[in-house]
Formats: sequence, C-alpha cells, structure tokens
Amino acid sequence: MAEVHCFTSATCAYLDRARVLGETLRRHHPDWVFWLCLPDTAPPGFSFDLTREPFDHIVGLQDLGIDDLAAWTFEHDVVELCTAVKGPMLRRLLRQGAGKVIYLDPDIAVLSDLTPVERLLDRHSVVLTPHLVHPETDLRGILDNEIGAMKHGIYNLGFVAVSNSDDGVRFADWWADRLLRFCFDDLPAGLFTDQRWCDHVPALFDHVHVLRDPGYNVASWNIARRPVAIGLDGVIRAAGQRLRFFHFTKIGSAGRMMLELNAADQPAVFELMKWYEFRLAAHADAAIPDGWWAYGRYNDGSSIPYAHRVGYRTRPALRALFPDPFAAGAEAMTAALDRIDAP
Amino acid sequence: MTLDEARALTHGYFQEAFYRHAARESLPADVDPLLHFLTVGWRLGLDPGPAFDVAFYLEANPDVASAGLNPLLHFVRFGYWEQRAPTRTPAEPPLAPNAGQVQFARLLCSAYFDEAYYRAQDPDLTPTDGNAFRHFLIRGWREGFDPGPKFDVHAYLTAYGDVAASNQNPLLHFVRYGEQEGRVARPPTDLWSRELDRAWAERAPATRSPQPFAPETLDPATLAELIRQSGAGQGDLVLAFSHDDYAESTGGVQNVVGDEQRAAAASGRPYLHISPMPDVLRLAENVDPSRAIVQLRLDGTKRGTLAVAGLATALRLVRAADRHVQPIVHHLAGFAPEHVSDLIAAAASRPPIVWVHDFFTLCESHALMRNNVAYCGGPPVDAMGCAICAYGPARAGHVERLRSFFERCNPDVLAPSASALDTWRGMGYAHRSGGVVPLARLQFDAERAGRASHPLRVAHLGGRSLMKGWAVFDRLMERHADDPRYEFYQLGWRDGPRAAAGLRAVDVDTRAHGRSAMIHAVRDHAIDVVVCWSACAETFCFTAHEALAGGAFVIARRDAGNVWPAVRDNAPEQGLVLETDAELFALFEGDALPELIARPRRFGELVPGCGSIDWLDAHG
Repeated sequence: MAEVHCFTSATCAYLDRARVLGETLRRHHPDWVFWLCLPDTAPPGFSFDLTREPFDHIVGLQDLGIDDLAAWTFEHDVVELCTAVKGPMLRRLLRQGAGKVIYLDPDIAVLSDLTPVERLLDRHSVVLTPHLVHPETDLRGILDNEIGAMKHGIYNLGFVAVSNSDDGVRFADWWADRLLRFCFDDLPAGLFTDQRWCDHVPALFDHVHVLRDPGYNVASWNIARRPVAIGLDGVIRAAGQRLRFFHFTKIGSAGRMMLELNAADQPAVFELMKWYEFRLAAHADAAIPDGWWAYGRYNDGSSIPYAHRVGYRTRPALRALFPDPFAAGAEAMTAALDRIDAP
Repeated sequence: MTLDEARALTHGYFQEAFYRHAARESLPADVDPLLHFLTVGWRLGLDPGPAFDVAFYLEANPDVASAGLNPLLHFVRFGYWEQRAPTRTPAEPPLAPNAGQVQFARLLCSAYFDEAYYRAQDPDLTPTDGNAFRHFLIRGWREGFDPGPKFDVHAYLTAYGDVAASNQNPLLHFVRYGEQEGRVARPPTDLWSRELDRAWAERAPATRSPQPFAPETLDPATLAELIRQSGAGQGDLVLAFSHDDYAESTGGVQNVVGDEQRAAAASGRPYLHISPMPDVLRLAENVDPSRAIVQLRLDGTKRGTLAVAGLATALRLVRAADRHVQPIVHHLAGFAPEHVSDLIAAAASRPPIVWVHDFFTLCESHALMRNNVAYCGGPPVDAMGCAICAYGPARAGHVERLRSFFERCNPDVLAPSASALDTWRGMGYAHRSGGVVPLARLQFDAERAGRASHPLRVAHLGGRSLMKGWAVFDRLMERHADDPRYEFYQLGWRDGPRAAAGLRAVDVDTRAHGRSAMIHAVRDHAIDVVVCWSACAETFCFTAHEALAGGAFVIARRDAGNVWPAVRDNAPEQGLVLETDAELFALFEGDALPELIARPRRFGELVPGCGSIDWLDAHG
C-alpha cells in the first residue's frame, strides 16, 4: 500500500467542496492516495465516475464495519455522522497498511506542499492543529475564539495526521471507539462531535505533536491573529509563514461574514474566498439536489427532526421498537416518543 | 429630558384619565400626572395605562429593575425595539412607534443614517413618504435596505446570528450594544468586492467568445501602392502595432502612438499602424493568418482591413521596393504574438522596438494587479498567488507565447521609466537592449510662494479605481469627514462607488479640453495637496507630473513604480514619499502638513516626448 493516504468525509451536498480539496491536493501531491468517505448514497440520476473525480477511492458506510448500521446512522444528524465516520475510516486505512494517514475536512483547500506534515509523521504518532496558536488580546477574541475553543475543542479536527505506529494505532482505535458511541453535538454534556475528545490526546498518547505553525488550518476563528498576505515573490503567507491549507468553514453563510469582519484589512483573504467560490461553482453538480442527504428523511419522505434522533439514541425502548428507524416514519416515531415519555 | 419630550415618547402608553383613576388621592391636584408617574407613580406600582404593565416589565426585565430605571421610559426608548413585551399579554400587532420614539431612535442612529443615501436605494420611497428613518426602523431593514454607507444590514445580521434571531433592528442593536462589544458595522470591502467580481466575471471561460468575422476591405497590392505613394517621404516605413485604433480611442498609449505618427511624418517616415479586430485585452488565438483580420491606418488616415496573411504579402512588396521597415510594438493585446513575429520576420530590415507601456507581456493583468485588487509584481507563473488569481489559469500559456515572441524578435525594449524596465526585465525575456524614454517632461515656467489654503485642498486625480488608490483616499476622507482642516476633491471622472459625503467631485475631460485639462483643473481649483497613492507600479505616472505642473504638493506612495521618481527627479521639494497607509493617515492626523506645503512651489506644463522617433534618430 502506498505510503501516504489522505481522506475526507462528505455527503453529496458537499461534493463540490470535496472536489476542490481533491483538486488542490492532487496539484501538490499527485502521488498521495485520496479517499472520499461518503456517509450518504447518491441521489437518483447521479453516479460517481472515478475517472472524472479527484478521488482514488470512495468508501460508503457499509464498508466501515459498523454494527447495527441503520440504527447507528439514525442517531446522528448530518454533521455528527460525517464526523463520526472519521474514526472508523482512519482505523480502516491503518489496518489496510497505510503508512501515514491525513484527514482533511472537505471545506479545506490545500495551497502548498504538505511534505512537512509527512516528515513530522516520521517522528510523531499524531499531529494536531490547535484552533488558536496566539493568545487573544481583546475581549471579542477572548469571547469568540478562546472561550469558543474551550467549548468546542482546543484542536480543530478539520485536520489530523496519524502514523501507522503503535501510538498512532492506539489513538485510532480509541478515537474510533469513542466516535462510534459518542459523536454528538451536545455541549452541556461536554461533547462536540469528534473535537472535544481530542483535548485528551496529548495526555493519553505518546509522541503527539501539536503543530503550531500558523500556516496550517487558517480559518475564520484565527484569521485575525494570522494576517494573510501575498508577497511579491508570489508566496501566500499567514502570520509570516507559508500558507499550507485554508479552512473555508461555512463559506456560504456566516463563516464568510466572520472572515470578512475578522480580515477587513486583508485583501488576500477576499481573494482566497472569491477564488474558492469560483472553484466551487466549477465543481458544482446539477444532478445533486440542494441539501441532498440520503439519511435526512424517513423512507416515506418525511424529514427527521433532530429530537427524533436524540430520542432514539437515549431511549432503548425505541431501538427495540424500531430496529430500522428509517422505516418508522415521522408520525409513528413521534407517537412512540410521546408514549414513552408520558408520565 | 423635558416633560414635553417624555410626553412625546410615552404617547399611546400614558393615558391621563386612566392614570388619574388609578392614582386617586396619591396624585396631588397641582401635579402633572405624567410627571407624577415618572417620578413617583411607577415606584408605587401604578400603571400608566392599559398598554403597559409596570410590575410585569420589572419582573420580566431584571436588568431594568436592578438599574432602577423607569420601566416605561426604558421600554419606549429601548425595550420596544428589542422586542421586550410591555404587558403579560401584549397587543397583537404591537402599537406602532410614536413620533417621540422615532425621534429618539434617530438621535441614537444619527451617525449612521444618511437620508439621501437611504432614499436612493428605493425608488418607490418618495419624499412624500415623510419620515425615511421611520421607514428604515420599521420596514426598511427587513427589506435589506441600509441606513447609509457606514452600516451593512445584511452583513451585520449574517455575521451576528444572535441579533438576527432576536428580530430587532440591527442598527439600533449596534449603536446600543454592538459597538461597545467590538462588533463591526460594515465590512470595508466594497471596492475589493467589486474588483474581485469583475476580475472573475471577465476571466470566466464563458466570456471568451470566438473571434467575429470581419471582411477584408483592402488587398495587398493596393496597400503596398498606398505606402509607396505616402506623402510622408521616402524614409523607413514605421510598422506600428497597438491594441486599438489610437485615433478613435483615448488613453496614454493612444496619445503616444498619435504623437509618434506625427513625429514620423515630420522626419519623412511613412507610418502604418496596425490594430487587431476585435480589440480585446488578451492575446488572440494563433489562428490561420488568412483568418486574422487587422485594421490599418496609414499616415493617420484610416485605410481599411486586411488579413495578417495579406498584410505580410503587402510588406514583402514594400521590402522588394528597397524600403526599410522599422517595426515598433506598443501593445500586443488582441494580437496573436506569433502573427506579429511572423510579420516582423517577413518584412523588417531594422531591429524591432517593443515598448513596455504596461506589463501585458508579463500577464494578461496588464498592471500586474492580482485579481484586480493587489499589485503582484509578476512572480513566477507557478506562484501560489497566481494559483488563486483570476488571471492565473491563462498566465503560463500567455508567458510561454511571449517568451517565444521575444526570443524570435530580440527587440530593443523601451520603457517610460527605469522602474518599469526593471520590473519587465524580471521575467528574463530575450532582448537586444533596454532603454528608458519618458513619455513627457515637465517644463516649469513660474515659481510662487507656497500657499496654504484654509482649509487645505486635498485631491485625488483620476477615476475612483482601487488601482489608482481610491480606496485609501476614500478612507482618508472618511477619517477627516468632520475635520475643518481639510477639503477633499476628486479631479477626474465619477466612475466606481459612491463617494463619502463632502467630496467635491470635479469632472475633468481631457478629450474635450485637451491634454492639459488636468493641470489646469489642479491650478484652477487651487489644489494644495495631491495624494498619488496608486496601488500598482505606474510605468509613467501622468497624474504625479500633472499635479506638479498644477503647482500642487504631491504625497507619493514609495512602491508605486514611477510615482515617487516622477516627483524626485522633477521637483523633490514639492513632494513627500511615504511607505504605508498608516504613515499617510498619521501625516493627516498630525499638524506637519501645512508647514511642508508652505515651501515655494513651481508651476508649468507637460511637454510630450517624441518617443521612438527621437530614440531611433539617436540610436539608429
């Protein structure tokens, strides 16, 4: 098996993003193997043609060896599911013999060579990028970014790199287990999908490297402290270091505005955003309906409220009642929930 | 607050009869009931009328209760807009805001509401609609209208989901809370966004239409005969290439070509000018030369159109008649460079001259403005910056074709400034020699004592483009909008974005009033200071020259190509060079400027250079 494998996790609705990631990754690392983990099924009228995609392989939910798959899938909303599969997918690639595995979120674009990460994995088992690498200096930064990171996780799990070493495998097994059971957006319970788990990583595992180079994982939450500039040598830098990859979180909505507000004096950030939007448009696929996600609806077409997913994962009686919850339908699930919760 | 103001604010909520009945004997006969409620009554738990419940409001809003505020005054001034309920079961729909409430909100928002700007967004909002601010408060913000140029409703609500969810007017939120919390009223990106959109829209593949067919109106023999009969004389035939018909469009390069044609005529040289059809700002495809049509102007007279293949035939006939041919390439946009080098190879007996009027030979972005928003300096084609630039995808092929062109032609390269030549040489294209030939020279004819108007008149010369420094000038104006020390002028044309209030915009049309129109405008409006803050590297900065000739003091950005050298080499005492925007802003904040410009200043004219013809006479 090739030495470096890279993967992302995205539904069909994020295919444009995953394609931009693939396109930019291939530009810099044509020899790396790129996998799309797809917690979704393609809409009618669309099928993947790998000869025209920037992915070498596509892996579906059924390939991840997850028990009781329908019930497990149902417990998660789209973000939770896309995140939960990262652990099993990482474990699968390591078990298949990948020497080094790098996960990148689909809304990341690789802007220059990632060889330094590959080199770090010669000496380290796990490489993590913190949300913040500079202390904030004003109240807004403290509230939005520092306290935000304390709620959502110190490290941004849009990136993680793992070597096929003893410690790397121990980490992958542990993370996969926790994500299979506890990958939920439940801040009061101390959970924010996969991220809060990784706050433990430097304490639990050896040879963990915290990559503090500001050129990695630049995003709206750290852009104010990592000014992006493009020199006359044509190099894009963040806080003075070569920009390796940019994380375009929620570029279509609030994320874009947060970037604009946090980078008001940085034309290069606007150039990056505009370029990214242009590449997204080039990779958009008209055959995929807006917001498509195969697991967003019951089999009868009714949409699945988040409360049903929470109810299903927290009430064992419901699992017994509906082994395949997608077949239940919204009405039956609501009625069952009301019955179970009735005093 | 006066009692009358309080009465206006509480109108609809304070009902005198209701209150008298509720207060009974606690209300002295000689005390105004409203005054009583505002000072004593509310503390006794008395309600002002059926539309407001004092006890409920204090219970529901502990921030008001703990601050000891009058609950009704808090509600009508703030709570109403923040969607706080006045009673346990508020009226549905709620009472419309009264005139006092609107007036109070207007005061809060006065720094951000610009009535003329607001009305201009909605043609249906006529002056008879009365209170435009009221319209904004109640409806306009929900319909996406901005209160003025300093606040962006959509951006604020998109960035701050908590405000959007609270369903309150975002401007009122900003002035009351957001500003203190460090939230931002408007991302200052208008010009960037506009230019970025333009860059990507223009470079999108769909906009690359096929070259339209244009018929030939000349034949090679006729053209050769016209050249033979040229009244200019028997000197070398000048074969000049530029991107459009210099006699029918205006601009710096067009002026140079026109001047050159007249200088050629004066020196006995016929002058055949060739421009592509259509004139587009990119290289044409290398199609069969019989399908590439050019238009021709001989000795200033339009002669018609001919395919490149036919033109080559005509030029061979000219050469066969023992006339030397001197090619001068001013601009290659719209041409296939392969065609131009073929024509030169077929006909030229003199080494070609290629001008660096701009940097089109380094990139389709001829001013090297990456994505139209930032000067890039023309880095290697595989640079990261090129990878995210709208001009990036075409650049490698563009440079490859031009590298071949220069290798094949090995020209004498002329640039209007040393900085332009240096930048061009960075690409490493082949060339026989490089020379600097300024496009014009300053000729001073008078010196006067420095003046200092009160207020100082500060101008931007030219259009409102980011490349020419408008964004920074606009910020400078914004910073000093209420500063009595300065008056801001724009001498040029009112393209681009709306300007800040207070700008004095003066139309200057060099087509109608001649090439000295800008100099005269600077002089006539007694401009004290011109800010030459080009974002790009000017190859020859006419505005800096014109500002000096008009007697103004010039503040130049150092890394803007020829801008500072133009001042330094002509009138260094009449200018100042700065590095950064921050230095510029600090200069205007401080008090050093009047002293700087008090030095004696000279006035003069700009005399066009004779360009290639003088150079050929000196070097030929």
